[in-house]
Amino acid sequence: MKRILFATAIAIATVCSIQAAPLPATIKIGSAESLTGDNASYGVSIRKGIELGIEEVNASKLLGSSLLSLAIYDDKADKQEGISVFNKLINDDKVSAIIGPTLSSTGFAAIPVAQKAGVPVIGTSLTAVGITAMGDYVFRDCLPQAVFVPAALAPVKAKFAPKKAAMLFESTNEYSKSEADVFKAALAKAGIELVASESYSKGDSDFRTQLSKLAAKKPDIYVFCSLIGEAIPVLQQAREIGVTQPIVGGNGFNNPNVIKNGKEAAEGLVVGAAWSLASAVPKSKSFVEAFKKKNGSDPDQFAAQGYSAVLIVAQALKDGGSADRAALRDALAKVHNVDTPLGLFSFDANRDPVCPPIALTIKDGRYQLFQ
Amino acid sequence: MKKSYASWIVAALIVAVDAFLCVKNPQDLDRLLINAILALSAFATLHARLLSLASAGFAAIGAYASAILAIKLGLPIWLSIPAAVLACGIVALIIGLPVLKLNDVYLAICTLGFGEIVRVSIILLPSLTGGSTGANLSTGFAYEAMKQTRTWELALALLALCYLFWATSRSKTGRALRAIRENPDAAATMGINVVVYKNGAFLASALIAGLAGAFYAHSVGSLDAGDFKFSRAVDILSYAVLGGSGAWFGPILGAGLLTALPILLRDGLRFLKDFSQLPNIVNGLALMLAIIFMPGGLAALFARRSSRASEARGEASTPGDGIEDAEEERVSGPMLAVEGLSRSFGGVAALCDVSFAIERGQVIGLIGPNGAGKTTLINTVSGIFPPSSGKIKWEGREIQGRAAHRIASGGIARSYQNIQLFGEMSVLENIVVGHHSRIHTSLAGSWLRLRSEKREERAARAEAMALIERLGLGDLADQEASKLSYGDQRRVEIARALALRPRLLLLDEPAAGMNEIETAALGDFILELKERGYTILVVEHHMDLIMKICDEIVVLNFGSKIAQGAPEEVSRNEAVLEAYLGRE
Repeated sequence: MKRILFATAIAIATVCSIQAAPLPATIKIGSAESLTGDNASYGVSIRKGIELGIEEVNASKLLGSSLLSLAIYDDKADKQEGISVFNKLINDDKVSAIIGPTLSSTGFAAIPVAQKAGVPVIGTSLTAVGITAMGDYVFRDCLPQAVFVPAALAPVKAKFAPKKAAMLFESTNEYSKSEADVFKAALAKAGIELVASESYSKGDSDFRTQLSKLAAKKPDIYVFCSLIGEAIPVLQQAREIGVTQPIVGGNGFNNPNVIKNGKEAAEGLVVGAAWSLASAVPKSKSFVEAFKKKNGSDPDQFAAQGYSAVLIVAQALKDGGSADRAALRDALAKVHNVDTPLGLFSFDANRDPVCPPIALTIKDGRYQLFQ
Repeated sequence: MKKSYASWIVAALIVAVDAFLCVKNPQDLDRLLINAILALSAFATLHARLLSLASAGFAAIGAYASAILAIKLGLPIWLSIPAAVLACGIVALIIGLPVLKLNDVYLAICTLGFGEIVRVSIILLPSLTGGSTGANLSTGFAYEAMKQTRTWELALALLALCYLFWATSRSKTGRALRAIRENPDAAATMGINVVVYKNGAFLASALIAGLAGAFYAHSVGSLDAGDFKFSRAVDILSYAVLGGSGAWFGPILGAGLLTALPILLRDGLRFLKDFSQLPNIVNGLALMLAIIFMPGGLAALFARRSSRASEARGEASTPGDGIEDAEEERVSGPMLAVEGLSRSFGGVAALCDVSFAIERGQVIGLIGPNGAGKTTLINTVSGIFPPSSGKIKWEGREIQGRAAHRIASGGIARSYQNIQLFGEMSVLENIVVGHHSRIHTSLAGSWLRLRSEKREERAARAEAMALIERLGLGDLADQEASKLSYGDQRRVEIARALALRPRLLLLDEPAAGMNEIETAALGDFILELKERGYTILVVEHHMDLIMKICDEIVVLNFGSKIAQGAPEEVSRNEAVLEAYLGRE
């Protein structure tokens, strides 16, 4: 009995001591983004999202009297610079977690440094296969294309109950080819029969032959996987040969230029997305408003994912009650339904994101939620 | 003295900054070492006067080849890296021959195209390279299997390369490359096979770039084609340009500076978070200023230590004046016979059906008004360009159209009307270049620092020094050739031609720029050479000199021979007087 009492006392003391050690006054979050060069537009967007997130977390007193502070460096979209910046964040700035880098290629070189040092990393734009397979300290909040692109199919199926589908894709591009494969699997899963599939090569400008072959099979819906270069002529020529059935586009069709240059031909097109300005998620609406107020422009998907990463880290800091890297990793793995602009957010067992993708349609010259 | 002081401070500063950064962040050391190796690759071509941007392309081949061999075939990296380097060498040999015919900016554009082809090929072979996704975990190149090099291995490789560059720079090969860098045409007429050396330099550059690329793959642990894009090629070139293409250690310092500067700026200017482009602008500005104010690069801060005249004097073990008596004739008949020689440039006939012969031991004067075709004749005989038609028979064998270096080593030396010395090399070194084809130690021998090389070099320097003293240039032996007076430069040119030990000497206006006393001394010297068995063809406008030294005179006008004969004979020739004085 005495022993049990003793053990209980120790247990209580231990719990107390954990609670008694509060979060430090300043918790450093690191980030490596491509702020200069060809990919600067992504990196700068992400940084704006992260900065807004940190301001809001600090203002909300979510972490009590503890404040988040950001150490951010330009990784120049270069592997060696990425490695150098990661080392600096880990050894000099002694950050609790790192958000970034911007590009998957940089990530494959730099993230192993953090994994080895035991520092949690949250990728906000690292959609490549294998990112989270690098180790148990690697997380991401960006849905891969394989998840959000075919997300457009479910609502289309619900609305139009299609039985037959036809597909056109670019065969000379890895991205379009893999997107086509993703759609094929999603169609099969949705019980929609793929009755015809045609392809073209990069640089082609006339798609009427392929489109006519597809039309001859009388499909109920069309699926197009093109990059932005061919997306618009494909769409226009499809309308020309008389396609009126719903068209589901790949990620190349989620681009303002499709509306700008495609005009009426673009109306009614459906695409899947990880996030959109049109999102109906409440947290997204407040985020868009705050972002506009701070930066004077609309946020994009990258800003939303950067902002969300901060909210997720903050939640994990609060849940775990510790800024220690290993404790933060464990807390991150357990976060559940964090309220973010991406919807209610959790990580799956592979530390990949679980959040609802959205379907958009072009209506009145604007991307709107597909309903 | 002051100069070398400043240079050591600069070098020490760069080393100290790099050491500081690498201690703070050891993985930056890998990057520094790889960049230094890449800088050496750019140096190898730039030093041979090749403006090549191919290093990034070869680094890409090296990186992917080693990665694929190590991952897909499971080779250990001590096998995959040499194999990758070898692959780069084969590619360099194949593309080198056609590409290296181009010069300057044309070569730059062409090698840039090569880099693009490599980059796009990598993207278009996804099953092998991972395509546009890159060679990483997602395409089967696992990080742990890829990342295999240790920093000390890279350091060891750089040290080994430094040794090879150092040993090469002191060898016959190094001297030939410096000569080519200064003046490829003059180098060729000193018996240097410029094409072979340029291809060799390109090959070396490719091998080194391939090594750097393979190290990059196994140091970073993943790859994609973007790692070797245009901007990387420019970075590599700027290491060598900032460092200086004159000495091998310059580019290493250049790489050290250009690797450290962005890191310092990144950390130093981080408070300027809204101006993330600023470090790049400062970096670019620093590069601009450095190149404007140090056109020779960092290496130019260091005084180049070439072999001193005093040492060469001390080494003189063979008595003599450095001028060897000309060798005995090998075949009967005239030594040089020009038969129906013509050369036209576009529609202009610079030489028209010129024939004459030179017997052994003769001094022949070649005169004519400006534009008569005298220099064209010398250029044709010495192989600078081939004749349009006609024959040149050298000791009975036809040599028209032969490469300049072969004609030179065959026994015909020349001087130039417009002085073509190796301006940045010392007078002594200029002359030693003339010994090129007589120094037999191979490059490998130089790397092994064989005794035979030391012996040959010492003999060459001693002989060159004796020649310099004979021509009264002894005090100037250590001077840079370009710093000499015009008349002295002429004499150095003649000495350099004599260093080839030619049997026929072509002198193109040797007295131009000399005063009367110097001209008279030159005349005596030419007669002395004649006595020692040299055969000489001399182009001159100083008629006194021509009359004094020549056995026979050939007169050209508008590309055609209008007279030939003994000096007195020619001076009375009506056609000659007409050509010179415009008489009716």
